[in-house]
Amino acid sequence: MASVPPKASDSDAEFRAFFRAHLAYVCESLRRLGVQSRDAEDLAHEVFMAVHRRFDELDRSRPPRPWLFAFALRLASGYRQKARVVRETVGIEAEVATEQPDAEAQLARDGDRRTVYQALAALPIDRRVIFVMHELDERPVPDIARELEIPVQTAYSRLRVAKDEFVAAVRRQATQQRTREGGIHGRA
Amino acid sequence: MAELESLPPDVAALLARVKEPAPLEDVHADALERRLALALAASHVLEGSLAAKTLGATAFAKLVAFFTRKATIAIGMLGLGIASGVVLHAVATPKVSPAEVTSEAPVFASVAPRASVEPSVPAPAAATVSVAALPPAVTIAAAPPVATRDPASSLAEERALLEMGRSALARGQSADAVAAARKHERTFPRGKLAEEREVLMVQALAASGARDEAKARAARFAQGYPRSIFGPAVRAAASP
Repeated sequence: MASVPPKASDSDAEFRAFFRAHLAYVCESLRRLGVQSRDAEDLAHEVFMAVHRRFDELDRSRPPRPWLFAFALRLASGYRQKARVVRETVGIEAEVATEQPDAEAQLARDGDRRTVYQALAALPIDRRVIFVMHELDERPVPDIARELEIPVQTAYSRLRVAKDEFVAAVRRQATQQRTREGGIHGRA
Repeated sequence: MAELESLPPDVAALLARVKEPAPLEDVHADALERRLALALAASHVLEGSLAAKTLGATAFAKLVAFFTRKATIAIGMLGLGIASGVVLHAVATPKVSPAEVTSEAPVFASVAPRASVEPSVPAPAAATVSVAALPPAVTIAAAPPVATRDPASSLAEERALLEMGRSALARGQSADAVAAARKHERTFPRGKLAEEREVLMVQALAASGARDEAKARAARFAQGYPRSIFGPAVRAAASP
């Protein structure tokens, strides 16, 4: 309440522009962090509600994505706890199976992303976060360590393991894909 | 600094292709923006923040909300009416009469998030909430609920109706969504969320197969709210 800016309409306009500019990034980050596509928009809504509450803390001299990622990270971990996505490694597969035909076609068109989401889902969350922040958002490891409040060496070693796991998951998918295309057994 | 092995070229290339976020369809972004605007408008009203230009107006709107809520549950109506009248006058800045303040406060409360986007759209609800009617509490108790309902609670009711309609639409129960929109139209013909109602109406009508009415409504919407941020969403819903 005390943080109400005097010129509400100006900051509202700015917030809206900010929302439009970064909505896609927030949705993408949530997906990378294991939020299923049917929940991504709900979570994005929550993210921007939280962003709005803290909008006066936005540092316009810095890139906004890392700031937003922190919100996405917080909301996504709450989501995982709430949804008890126990089978994290099979979560994406289960989702693909329950998608509507339209959505499935959409996913097929966006095969690269599906591959990445699915491979990311194979990583435990602490390593997945670092992998996403470094390999996809291109943030320096020391920054990541600071934000996650872990020692830099820990961050490096998690990232190293995460990379191996990610590559392995991508290879595994490729093998499964070939098996499916070979028509030996079509997995539901 | 620890050296990291680089990823195999094909995996690195895969990651490079998905580094930029997937673009969101405008329809989705519009829908989310609408939802966010509504949620923020609601939270502004609840918190009594960001709604009014001045602290005086905010405090005033909150007082109105507080006292009229009491009044509508009919406790010590007359005395409260007088008391609230006194307090309201005391709180409102001397220069500004209560009628002026409240004719503004609800408008900012409800449309603050989009006020800057479409400044030319007239705020339809402003005239329907008359504060002059508030202090005599007997009038409040006797009058029909819509005319004298306090701004915050009627906005909450409007929002609840539309929320019901939207969730019905999301579940694929378009008839229920149309019914909710129609009820909103009957109850709050010039309500503060009239614009949002029309959006829901067009979407629900289109989904329920009432294409002609959806189109007619969409056309009327385009005229009534030429600069609405919901314009694209309404057009998209009404076009086959």
